[in-house]
Amino acid sequence: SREAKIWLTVYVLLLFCSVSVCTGLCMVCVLDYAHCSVDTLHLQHSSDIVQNEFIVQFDGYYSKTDRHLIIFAAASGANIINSSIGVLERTNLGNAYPSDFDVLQIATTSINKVANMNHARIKSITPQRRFVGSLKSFHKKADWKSYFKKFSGVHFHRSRVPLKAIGNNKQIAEAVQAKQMWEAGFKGQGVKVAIFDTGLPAKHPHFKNVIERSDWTDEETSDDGLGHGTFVAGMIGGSSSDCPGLAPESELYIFRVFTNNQVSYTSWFLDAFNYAILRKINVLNLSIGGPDFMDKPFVEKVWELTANHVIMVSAIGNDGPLYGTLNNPADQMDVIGVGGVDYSNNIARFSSRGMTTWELPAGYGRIKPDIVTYGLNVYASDLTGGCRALSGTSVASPVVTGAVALLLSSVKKNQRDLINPGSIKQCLLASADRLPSANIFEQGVGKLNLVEAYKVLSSYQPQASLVPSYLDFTECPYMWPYCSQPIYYTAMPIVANITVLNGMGVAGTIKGSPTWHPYTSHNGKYIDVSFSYSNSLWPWSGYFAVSISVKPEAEQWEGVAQGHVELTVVSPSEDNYEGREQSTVKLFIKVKIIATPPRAKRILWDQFHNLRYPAGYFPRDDLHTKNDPLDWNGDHIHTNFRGLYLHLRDAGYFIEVLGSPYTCFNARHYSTLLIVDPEEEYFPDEISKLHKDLTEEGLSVVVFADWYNSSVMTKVKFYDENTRRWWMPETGGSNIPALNNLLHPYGAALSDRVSEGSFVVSSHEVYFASGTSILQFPPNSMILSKPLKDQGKEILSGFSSEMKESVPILGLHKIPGGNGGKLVVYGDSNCIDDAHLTTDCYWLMDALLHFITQGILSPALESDKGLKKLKSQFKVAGEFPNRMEGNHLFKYSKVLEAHLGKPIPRPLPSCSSLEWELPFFINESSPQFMWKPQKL
Amino acid sequence: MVSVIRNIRKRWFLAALFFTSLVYFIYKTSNSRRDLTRNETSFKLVQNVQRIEVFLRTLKWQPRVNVPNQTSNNPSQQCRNSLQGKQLIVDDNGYVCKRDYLLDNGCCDVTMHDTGRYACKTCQTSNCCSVYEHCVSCCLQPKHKNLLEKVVRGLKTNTMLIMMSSIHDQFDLCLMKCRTSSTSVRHENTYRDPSMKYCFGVGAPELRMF
Repeated sequence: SREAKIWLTVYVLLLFCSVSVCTGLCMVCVLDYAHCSVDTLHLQHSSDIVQNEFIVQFDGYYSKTDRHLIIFAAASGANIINSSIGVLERTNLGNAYPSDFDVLQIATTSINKVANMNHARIKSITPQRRFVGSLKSFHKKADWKSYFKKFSGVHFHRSRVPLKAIGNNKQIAEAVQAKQMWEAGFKGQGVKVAIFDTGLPAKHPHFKNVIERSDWTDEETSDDGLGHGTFVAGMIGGSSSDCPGLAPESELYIFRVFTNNQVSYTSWFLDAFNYAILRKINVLNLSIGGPDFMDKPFVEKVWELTANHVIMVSAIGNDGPLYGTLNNPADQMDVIGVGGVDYSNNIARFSSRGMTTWELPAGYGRIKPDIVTYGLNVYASDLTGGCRALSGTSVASPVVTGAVALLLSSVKKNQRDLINPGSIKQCLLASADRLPSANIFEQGVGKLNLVEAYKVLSSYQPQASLVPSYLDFTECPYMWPYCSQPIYYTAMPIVANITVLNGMGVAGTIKGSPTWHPYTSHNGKYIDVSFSYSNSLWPWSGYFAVSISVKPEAEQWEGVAQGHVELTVVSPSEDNYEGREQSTVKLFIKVKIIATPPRAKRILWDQFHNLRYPAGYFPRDDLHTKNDPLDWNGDHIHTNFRGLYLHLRDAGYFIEVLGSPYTCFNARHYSTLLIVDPEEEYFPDEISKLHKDLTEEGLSVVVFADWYNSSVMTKVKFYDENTRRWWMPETGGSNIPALNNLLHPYGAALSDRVSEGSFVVSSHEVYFASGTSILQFPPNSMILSKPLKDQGKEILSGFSSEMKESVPILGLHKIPGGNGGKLVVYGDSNCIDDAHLTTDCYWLMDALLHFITQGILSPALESDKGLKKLKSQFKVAGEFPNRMEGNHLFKYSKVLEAHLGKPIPRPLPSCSSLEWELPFFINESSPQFMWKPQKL
Repeated sequence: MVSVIRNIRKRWFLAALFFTSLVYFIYKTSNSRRDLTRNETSFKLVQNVQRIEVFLRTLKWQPRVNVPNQTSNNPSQQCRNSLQGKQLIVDDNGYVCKRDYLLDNGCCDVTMHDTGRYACKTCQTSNCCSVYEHCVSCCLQPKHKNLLEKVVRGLKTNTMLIMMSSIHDQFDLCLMKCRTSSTSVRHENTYRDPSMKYCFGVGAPELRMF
């Protein structure tokens, strides 16, 4: 039996070895999990006509009896007997109020007479539709993998990924009218299309025209193990009869840049892109994207590609309906960024949307996506030779790529030199169909119209054009957010960031200085404009930003002002030596002006002190969300704080954005400065200026802070496989040590306890997700405390506990003195941030603003048992949180700069003062339909 | 039941268990495929080296056969050029000029005084340059033939093999070699040297510390 024991020992040892080998292998799957873990939820709608029901739309709101009278009058006019019709009884609460529609039920025999029903007060009669919505959720990978992940410490942050295609059949070629192009003989022949994706199987029955497949990964195969690349390639160049691609005769160049685990590196892309330039690819599809628009080697390589005449088409991303979720490279000016719609022309929920966040905080984002097309339940090739349905913007992008391939094959040989990334983008954008219900940051210029694009292209002359081509701030919902708030004297100037497309040449400039022409008969005299624009338009594009401000004369005026801007773009001629081509374009401007609103209604949003990824690691504000470790949506009222903006606008407040330090605004114009989730440091001058504003100018400050704890920050560091280095957060959810500097003059301070939990205030349920709490607060304040868990302890120890302690999370204080404002501090920003919103607390914001403007605390807070009114200084035992040793915030900060020892504040930048353009008055008026695109 | 336990203790059973585990273990750990393909791979390597040598022999080097006149333009010739530049452009004779001075035939206007041939204006001794067009122009110098041969032999074999079939002369090679590539980056999303990122020599740009 001793022998047996030895055998057993050997056996156990071997078993142990083989298990550890397996763990090594499993790590690979773990990486995979990190990439695929984005669960997606989407709603699927289908609708069908209800046979015997019609919706009767009236021209106004009428009581129930009046509506019935109108319907029966119309019916008798159409010879329908009363007994064969009825009006559907509505049982909802709205029944008691006047309405503008009714549902008419009618006997089958009289259906054909409905068309004859007429009445002065009936606007329309349309068939009733039944909508069926079903919730589809996409399975997470098995949980054991996440278990492994916890231990691995290896992690991919959200980087560039093949945008997930989510998996009814409808032929996409038919839906976009590709068949009309085929009938005219244009099938993509002679067009080199590159597909950067997960590869393609060697012998796939759908593909007759694959010129070559190249592998740029470390897996040494060009085969597709996932199906993403096959699907995308099938949509463009597939020739199956069940699910044909758009351009079946185009020449396909397959670039495999993702492994089967969806891993990819910038360096693989760089080499593969270089080869695409070498092969003189015409159009390149990138159904991929990531949030890192500061990956310079990648971004500049994309510029290089378009500069080499490669037309780049890319998916805008699947991170909707949240705003501020645009993916790179689709967010670049020289790239055609494609969003998704369903077959009923609604913007797909998943489709990422505007604005670009490159320009923040001082500027304003550009419009993206550029164009939208079908991206929901599109039918194309699967791995095995059949067809399948998938959804996602990575499905929408190849629709545009295929369309471009068809367009290129329709161009005659002698016209070929008119084709370039600039002119093709211009043609697609000028021919798109506007969707009625979506705004410009969701749909761009509208939905792809292939046949129209063909017409525009066939008569194209090289020129410059603008996106958007006009600014009508009175047009809702298209011009949201511009149309959502009128402008007034003393408001921060409104900035519109226009993209200039130049089809004349890869390089160009804006000639001389653009001119401003206010319309004398349309109140143009009431506005001032100022321009800033790219020194050179390269490649094929540049920006032209217009700042608009109201003149003092209109302080008490209300109305619409109009004018236009004229600018000329010049390019060195491509085919005429020393000649220069030039093109002049007009930008119509129409704005709504109101009298300056009272101070109590005006709120200033601090954008300057928000920092975001890229490039620094600014961690998420809710530590529970694991799959998206980064704060990357811009923290702007028109991106992830859009919900709050809409709410405050509805409540009658006017919100302006401060993109510069606190020294750059006049406190007398505003009741409240909103500081939400700040990550930036403060200039000493800002701290003293704000103190003066609060004590002498009557300004109030509302702070929505977030978690900070240096141990938790160390804990949430991770090794990022994309950049092959460790990622350490630069601050917590927000920068509490910096905020404490700002709050110091008032005797207020915040702690590094990370708290979490739910509580109820009056009837409002509140979820406090990873927030900070109050450490000190001045005498004569009100403090709201709630029992919350110590989430920091949980994260550090790895064990969850139900232990709750009463934590002070809200403090309200009136600064003494006649001109003293109010100071309000709340510990968590998640309940007003759309990014991780579970239950909103807009009611709290209302209550706080009410307290500020009226000095009265709302009954909901007043009656809460957790609220204490304190005469003396409030103090909780605990230390002031310190800045983390050796952190690199200074690399991303506008306030700090590197210095031997500790980083020190930079010199305070001077406040930007815009130079207003000289007006050249003309007696004109803007065209009635400004949105008619420029004739190319 | 007892007999089963007794059997388990028997030597033959344990031996069998051990061998099955061993077989499984060997199967799982040793990458038998690697052994099998080793010969094949080394054969392939030899073949690839030969292909690269053939490629280098057939490559057309600078200066081109029809040497253009140094002082006046030759309207009959056609040039390929670098296409992409914001301000500058380089043609396949090695001339760098402003975009405005590009002739209809795609060549630089050599009569303009700031048009230069084989210009290494922004290049360093490391053979890295801050302007792409200077990199290409400098790389086109006939004296760089030996260096470029060394570069081609030293490149990542796979990438070179794919690219080879589309490169026919020194101009193609220099256009390609001067582009930023996987060797230009560190941590993937930053340049090793953001100011000198276009290189035609052997090796990567020097690492810059910040």
